[in-house]
Amino acid sequence: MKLQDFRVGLRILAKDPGYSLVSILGLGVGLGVCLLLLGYARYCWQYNAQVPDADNVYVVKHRDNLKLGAPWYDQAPLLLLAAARTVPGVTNASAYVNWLPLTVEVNGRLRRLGSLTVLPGFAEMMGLKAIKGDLNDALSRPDAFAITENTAIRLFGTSDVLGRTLQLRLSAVDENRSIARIAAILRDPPANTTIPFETLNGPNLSLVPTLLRNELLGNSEWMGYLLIRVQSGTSLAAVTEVLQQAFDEAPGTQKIAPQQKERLGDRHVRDIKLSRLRDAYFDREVATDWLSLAVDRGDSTIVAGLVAIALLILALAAVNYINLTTIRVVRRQREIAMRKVLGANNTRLALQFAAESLLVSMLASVTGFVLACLALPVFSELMNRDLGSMLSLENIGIALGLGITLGLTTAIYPAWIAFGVRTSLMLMGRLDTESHGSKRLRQGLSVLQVSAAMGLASFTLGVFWQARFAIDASPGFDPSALLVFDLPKGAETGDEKPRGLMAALSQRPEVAGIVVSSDAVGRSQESWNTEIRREGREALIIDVKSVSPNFFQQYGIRPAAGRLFDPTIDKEADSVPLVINEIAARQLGFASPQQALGQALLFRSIENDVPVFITKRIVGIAPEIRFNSLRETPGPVAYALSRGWDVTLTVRASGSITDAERAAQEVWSQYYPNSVLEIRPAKEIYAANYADDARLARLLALSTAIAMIIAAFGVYVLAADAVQRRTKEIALRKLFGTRRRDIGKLVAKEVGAIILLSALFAIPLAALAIARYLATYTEQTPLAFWALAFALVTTSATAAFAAARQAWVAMMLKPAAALRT
Amino acid sequence: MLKLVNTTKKFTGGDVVTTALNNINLEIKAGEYVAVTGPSGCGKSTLLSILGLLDAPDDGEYWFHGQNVAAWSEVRLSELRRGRIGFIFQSFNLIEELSVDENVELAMEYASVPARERRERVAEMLDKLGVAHRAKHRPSQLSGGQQQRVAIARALVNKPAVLLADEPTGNLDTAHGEEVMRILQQINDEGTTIVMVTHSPAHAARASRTVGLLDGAIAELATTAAAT
Repeated sequence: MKLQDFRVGLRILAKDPGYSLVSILGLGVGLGVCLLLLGYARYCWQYNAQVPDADNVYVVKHRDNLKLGAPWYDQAPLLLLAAARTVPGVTNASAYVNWLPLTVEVNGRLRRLGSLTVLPGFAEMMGLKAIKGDLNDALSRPDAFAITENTAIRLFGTSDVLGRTLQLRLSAVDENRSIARIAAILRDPPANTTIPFETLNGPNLSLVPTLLRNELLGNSEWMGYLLIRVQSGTSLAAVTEVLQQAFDEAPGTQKIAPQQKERLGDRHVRDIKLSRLRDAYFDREVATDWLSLAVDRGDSTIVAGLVAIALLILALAAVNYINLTTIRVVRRQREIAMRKVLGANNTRLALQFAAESLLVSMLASVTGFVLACLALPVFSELMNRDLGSMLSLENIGIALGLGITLGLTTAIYPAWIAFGVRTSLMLMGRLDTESHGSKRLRQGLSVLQVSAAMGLASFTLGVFWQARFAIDASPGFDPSALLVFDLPKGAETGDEKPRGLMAALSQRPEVAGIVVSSDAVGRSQESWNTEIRREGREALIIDVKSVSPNFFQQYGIRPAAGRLFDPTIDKEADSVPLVINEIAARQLGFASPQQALGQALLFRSIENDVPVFITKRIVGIAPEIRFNSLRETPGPVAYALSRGWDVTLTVRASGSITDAERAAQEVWSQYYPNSVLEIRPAKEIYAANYADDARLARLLALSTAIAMIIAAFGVYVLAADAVQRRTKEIALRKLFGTRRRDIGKLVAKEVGAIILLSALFAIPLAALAIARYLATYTEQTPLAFWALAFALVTTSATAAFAAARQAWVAMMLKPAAALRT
Repeated sequence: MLKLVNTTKKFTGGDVVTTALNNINLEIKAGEYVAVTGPSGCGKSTLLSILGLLDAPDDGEYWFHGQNVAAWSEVRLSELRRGRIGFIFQSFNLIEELSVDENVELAMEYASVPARERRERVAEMLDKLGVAHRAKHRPSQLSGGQQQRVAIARALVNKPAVLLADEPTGNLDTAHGEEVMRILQQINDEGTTIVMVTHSPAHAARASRTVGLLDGAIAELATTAAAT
């Protein structure tokens, strides 16, 4: 490539600013969208990449087989650390816990920090180095801790806080205080980590209760987040076996009751397994509970889908550019032929076109990058992730690389056309025509563009309508007057303060009632599965909801049979009355709900760490209440009366929900002045189950809009080219008396054929995609497949609108002038 | 220098086969000034494209400087053509995105002439043809006569042995046409072989020999008064 080639490219762009703007902007938008989506995908795939040798760091997970249907958790007994360190190939084993959140008072306000208590080896495992101070000091001394730079700036307005002493406590409800100094300042962990923190402290921090310190440093069966680094080539099976054995032989494991051992059979009390830290973000099998560290998890299928969409949009933009360039090359055939006459070989021509294309793609890359930067804040909010790190030098380099690849790739077809230009035909004045094959290829590319837009539009609408359907689906009660909040960590509904809060709140005129439950309806933070059985029959694993006696009354739920809990009849902690749902009644073998009434059931419970079966009696059958999302099949549910260990409160508003919320805030601040009340309408709890779907729908809508614009432009260019190509024909037809509307039909036919072919291609694929998406739901909106019709109409209308101007130009063509030129 | 022996060229379009040149035998010696005449569609441009190595005959031989190039590939023909043959066209065929001096320089770029030498020769040629003062202008800013002079400059800048002109005065008025013919004569006097396609009997008479084509065959060969 020579400088001359770029100079010529620049002059070509300047000669036709309209064409140039459309080319650069079209490609720029495609690149911008691609950068955002690929940047997001990279962000997801780079989770925990900041950890040195991250591919060889593993999270130890466990599953409690004593709890029926228990999921995997990304925590494990701390006693496994010592065992891990004995395995050849294990170079580091450490752990961290989040049970001890430091709370600090700043400017008269208590702030709870994202704190981790870390064991020896953690800093090395994570590759942490202090920017200022001594990290070792901070993590080992009883009067020291470490803080991140941004946390310091947020709290104190400056990162120059080394040596500052602070009064710490463990929570807003904890009365113990301790003075500690900031002994080290660390860089903030990246946003894409499953181990976020604002402060780090060691177990020796004086604020840590002795009992907890001993558990952390001893061979405890308490759970923590364990990390193990192995050398490459180390057998993970061998490590897992050692850890499993260590747990199986632990004193606590040996003490399980014989009945439990019998029920376990060959299974371990807890299954232990290793999982790559790099895969943690996409690990959907990991469950969370109210003690878990709050981290984002992603869906690798969705991320892969977003990458596909990014590349699709880029391909559409590239196709547009190739179409425009091809038309231009056809019109430059005379120039190309002359260059060949003067001695240009194919290589020289290819380099020239590559240079022109590179020039456009580089300008488009800059445009795309600027657009991506401008759109980043909105995109971050849309994805609900902190994506500020996307503007890294590395990603800029990738963007440039993408631009270069695009430039070289989009030059191939125009260069190919140039190779085929016959110089001898130029002498005979027979140039400026495009081969039939080339025309067909461009039409085929336009079909691809319109298909993509139609398919995306269909799928987007399908996802949107299903998400809407799911959010609006009735949960079995009217949630509009209900507000939900949790007690502060460490508090339970049986404690004195929470009882005082509930009593005070129930006195407020804005509040009609307060309900206690183990978890909010529609949320799966807390789960309790147990076994129930009828005498002489197989056991049934059932999901148990712990609720206060007024639960059904305040939720406005009427029984399907018998009665539901009644505060005038039932008392808290009464272990006998049981309410089950219709599914449970059926699965327990009752022919009808009525038949189940008054029947006794054996209910497995744990008393003093020993499993026992207690007798409960069915007092009523509850209708279906949607505890889970529409993605899960409803199962058997039992309701037991709360025993004071629960943490979730639901407030029913007597009038306006806003007034009730205000009342709750006022009462809360009297009982927990140093803790922030996080209260939400019950409806929002449900909507949170579909937050990802709603987000996906919005992202798809944006992508569809861009694809539509690109496709519309493609149709416009095609129509313009068709009119230009057929100018003589149109002029002759008019000379012979063809009416304007028939001329319009000529253009419409060409565009109509594109739309028809696109529909034939796109609709079946979109239908398949919608069907697969809907298959993840147990209930589906009846509107989903109407999305196909709607998208077909919308895309067709867009394409028709795009072609309308050219049809008008053709209709208004003056035959004499056209034939003269 | 250039010799066609039983040369035939056909074009196929769908089911129709057109014989553009039919068994042509023609020899052009070095330094000759040959005019090719004939009605539209008789094969003049096809003859010129074969002589100029832009196309290959389907049958027969074409001896270019002692080599039979009839069966050569396009790539080989292109390499042979580079720097040896100059072309002038009726519609000038200057590249609009390049300035006058860049258009002239383009021929040397493809012939891998060093940059300094290119600049010197461009300046010399533009000066010789009286368009040096328009060096930085774009072709569309020149008159027809000036554009054709730039095209001639481009054709001659590599000092080709042969100059092929396809109706060089076809788009020019009489005065400018005369000017171009005078330049061609001067070029021929300096030793360059010229083959010119023309519809003008007056311009054909300026050549030393006329070749008349009709339906793809040579109908007439004549030595003109200018030769004598």
